[in-house]
This record gives sequence, structure tokens and C-alpha cells, in this order.
Amino acid sequence: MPYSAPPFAPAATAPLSVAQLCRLLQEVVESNFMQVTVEGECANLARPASGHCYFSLRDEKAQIRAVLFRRYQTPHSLPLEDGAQLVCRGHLSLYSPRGDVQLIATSVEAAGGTGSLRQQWLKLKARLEAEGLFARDSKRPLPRCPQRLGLITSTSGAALQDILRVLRQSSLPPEVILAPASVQGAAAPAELCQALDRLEAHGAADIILMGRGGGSQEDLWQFNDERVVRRIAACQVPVITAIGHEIDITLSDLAADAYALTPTAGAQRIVSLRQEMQQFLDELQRRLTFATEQNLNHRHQLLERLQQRLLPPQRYLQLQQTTLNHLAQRLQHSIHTQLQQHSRHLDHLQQRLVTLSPQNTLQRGYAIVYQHPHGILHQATEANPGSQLQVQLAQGSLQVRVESRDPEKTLDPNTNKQR
Amino acid sequence: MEDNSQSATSPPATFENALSRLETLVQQLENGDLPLSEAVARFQEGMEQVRFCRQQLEAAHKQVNLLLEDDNGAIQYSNGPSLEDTDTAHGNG
Repeated sequence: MPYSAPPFAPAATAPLSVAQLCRLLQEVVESNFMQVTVEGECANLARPASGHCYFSLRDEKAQIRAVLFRRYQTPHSLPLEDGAQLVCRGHLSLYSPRGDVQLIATSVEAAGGTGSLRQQWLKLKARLEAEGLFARDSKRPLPRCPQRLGLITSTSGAALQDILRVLRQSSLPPEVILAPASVQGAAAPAELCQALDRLEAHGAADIILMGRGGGSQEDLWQFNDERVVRRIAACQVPVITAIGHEIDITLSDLAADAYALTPTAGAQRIVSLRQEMQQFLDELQRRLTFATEQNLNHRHQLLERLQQRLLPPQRYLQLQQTTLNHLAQRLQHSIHTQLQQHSRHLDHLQQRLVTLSPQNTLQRGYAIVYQHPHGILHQATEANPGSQLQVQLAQGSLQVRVESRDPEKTLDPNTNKQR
Repeated sequence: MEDNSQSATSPPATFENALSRLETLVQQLENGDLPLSEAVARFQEGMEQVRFCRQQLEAAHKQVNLLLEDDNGAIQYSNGPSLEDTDTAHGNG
């Protein structure tokens, strides 16, 4: 014990007043026992109208006075009854009116482990988890653009001011419907549930933000209350919780559809959802305009291409004229070629004809003898003596009369004598 | 929520409905195979939905509404703290 004679203890000469002594004692006690945890049995429990709890902590050999002020009481201070084995945390002080040293408890838990807050929390968490209250797939999706914010918090708390500040600073605050509720003390769980009932019944809110500022573990304990946790899980409207400081996770946070670390962060989440929606609207409007422009441009280009292909009538006639000329040329050419072909063929035939003509034979000294009306004579027997014959020579013709005939005899062309 | 001039067959003019209609219209236009008259009609409708959504989104809410329960358990609706940017609205906490 780091106790030495108090600096103000005067020499033994003058007596101290009782108050002075108590003041000295108080300084010694309070500066040396700022944080103690003590286990003992609860006795002489008194709960006067002030709401504070006065009791003794004792064991077989000793006892000490203790007080649990109202502001530190939670439903889990319930093990507070005579005979209960308690673990109390707090600091020591001296109550001068009676000269009693007393323990100013800030938390009281049932001793023996199972009753500790942490373990209660874990047990309740495991039970609700097994029921699926925290299941990810049972979370309601947050609205893409929260329009009316149902706000559940205390009207006197710092959280409300934090949230309103964020909303006020936003260019796009949502409509706010505030459903006030206590966020600490024994009445809080029921009030939180009622506020959710009210918002649900009213029906306008499309998102609910429930929260409070930071505090002691006991302050935040109301948000671990089974009623609150179940009510949040059953709520028809998506709920965002924003409870305490960053390190505090409550069962309400786990049951909510989303949770923010602080009320400010919760409000920011809602504001950013709305800002993102504004950006998304910008984007949609841009796409709408762009798609329509594309559509019109496309048609415009198509129209232009078609217009280019649509010719003025003169140009059309000109084109026809050219085609016609071309065809005429081809026609002429074709006729010409054919005529030439025919002409050549004719020459050829003529040539052959000349070759075959009897005139050539006549030139060589032959003659053709006709007898009218029978035509060419081939045998001497065809002409009778005295008949008129016509002889065709190479140059000119003769009229002759047959004097005699000899069917057997042939003339020698060299001597002109009979052989 | 104010009702907008929607035809009788349209779903109620809520932000979500308008947004979902707008998304459909944009997709249809982006697919690009609409006849011209329909494309123009969809564009015009799309711009109306944009206007409606913006109106809804940017409506100024300067007042916090209070939702309280009276002694009979009936829900009461009244004006709460202002959201005006005066920074004077403070609770007692």
C-alpha cells in the first residue's frame, strides 16, 4: 500500500476537525482506489425512491458499503439482490456524513463466470444466430435511393445532432421522419421496438436509421436486448443501425440489414446512396441522349447515302443515252463483222465456182452440144441426122446440122481425124 | 408523395418505378433497332422519367417530421427540428 503520512497531516499539536480528517482520508482513499474489482455477497440491499441501489458487499470476515447509482443500472444489474454473489467494478470513496468508506460501483455482474455480460452476450448471440436472425440471405436490400428516412434515436442525444448535421450539409437530404426513443436505460428496448412499430405503421419511411452515440458497454447494452434484436430482424423496412463508437458491435448491428460504425457514418451512408443515385441518373440521361443521337445519326447517314444514289433526270437520260450509243456501236460492229464474214464466204464460193465453171473447159477447146429442147447431148445416138444442134464454144456458139452419126467412133483431138 | 401526370395504365409514379422504366427505355434505345417514331417517343418518355426522378431526388426537405404516439397509442405526425443550414437547432443533449 503506497501509503505514507499525508502531506497535510500537521504535527500532533493541534487537533483535526472530524471533517478535516475525513477530507484527508477521502483524498487517500480516492487517489489510491480509482479502479477496483471486488467480489462478495450482496446484503442489506436498499432501493429508495431516488432509484440508486445501496447495499453491502461482504464475505465471512469483512464487509464494505457499496452504491450503484441509477445511471449505471442496466437490466443486467438484476443479480442485485440480497444473498447474490456479485462482482462489482468501480472506485472507492469516503462518505463523510457517516465516515464510511464505500464502493461506487459502475458495473455489477453476477459472480461465477456464466453471468458475466460478455458471456451472456455470446450465449444470446449463439442462440439468435442459430435461429437465422443474422443470416446474410435474410437481409433486406437497401433502397437504391432512400427517399424518406425513418430515424430512431433520442431527441436529446448527440447522435441526432450528428445525423442532422450530415443531412444538413448534404445537397440532397432525404425527407426525415423522426421516431423518438430512449437509447439507454431500462425503458430503451421497449421504446426502440415501439418506434419501429410506429414507423412501420406509418408506412412512409423506405429506410430506417437507428442509433445512438458512444457510451459505456452498459449504455450500449440496450441494443443487445433480445426484443430489440428480434424486432429489427422482423422489420419490413430495411434498417441500418449506427450504435456507439467503432469498436462496439451489438446484436442489433448483426440483425440489421446494414450497420454503420457511428451515427455520422450511418447518415453519410444514406446521403451517399442518394448522391450515387444522382450520378446514376446523370449517367442514364447521358446514355438516353447518346443512344437517341446515334439512332438519328445513323438514319441521317443512311438518308444521305440514298440521296446520293438518287440521280437527277438529266443525268439519268444521259446515262441511258450512253448505254444506247454503246449498244448501237456494238450492233453496227456486229453487223459489219457478219457482212465481212459473208462476203469472204461468198468470194470463196465464187472462187470455187469459177474453178468448176465449164467456161474453163471450153477455153481448153471443148464444146457443149445442145439439142433443143432436150438439152446437152451426151451420146451420138441422141441426135438424128438432119437435126439442128447448138454448139457452145469458149467464144460464141454455132448452129449446125447433123450430117451423119457414128455411135462408136471417137475423134483424135490432135489430128481431128477419126480413129 | 405527389402523384404525377401518369396515364391510368401506368404503375403509380414512384421513384423506383420511374427509375426502372427509365433503365428499360435506355436499354431499348441502346439496342438501336427501334423504328424512328418509337425511338423518338421512347426518348421523350425517358426524359420525362429523368425529370420526375430528379424532382423526387432533389426535393428540398427543410423540416424533420416527428412521429409520436399520443396517450391512446395513436400515431401523431408533427413538425420537428428544422434542417435549414442555420446550425442553431440543438437538442438539450
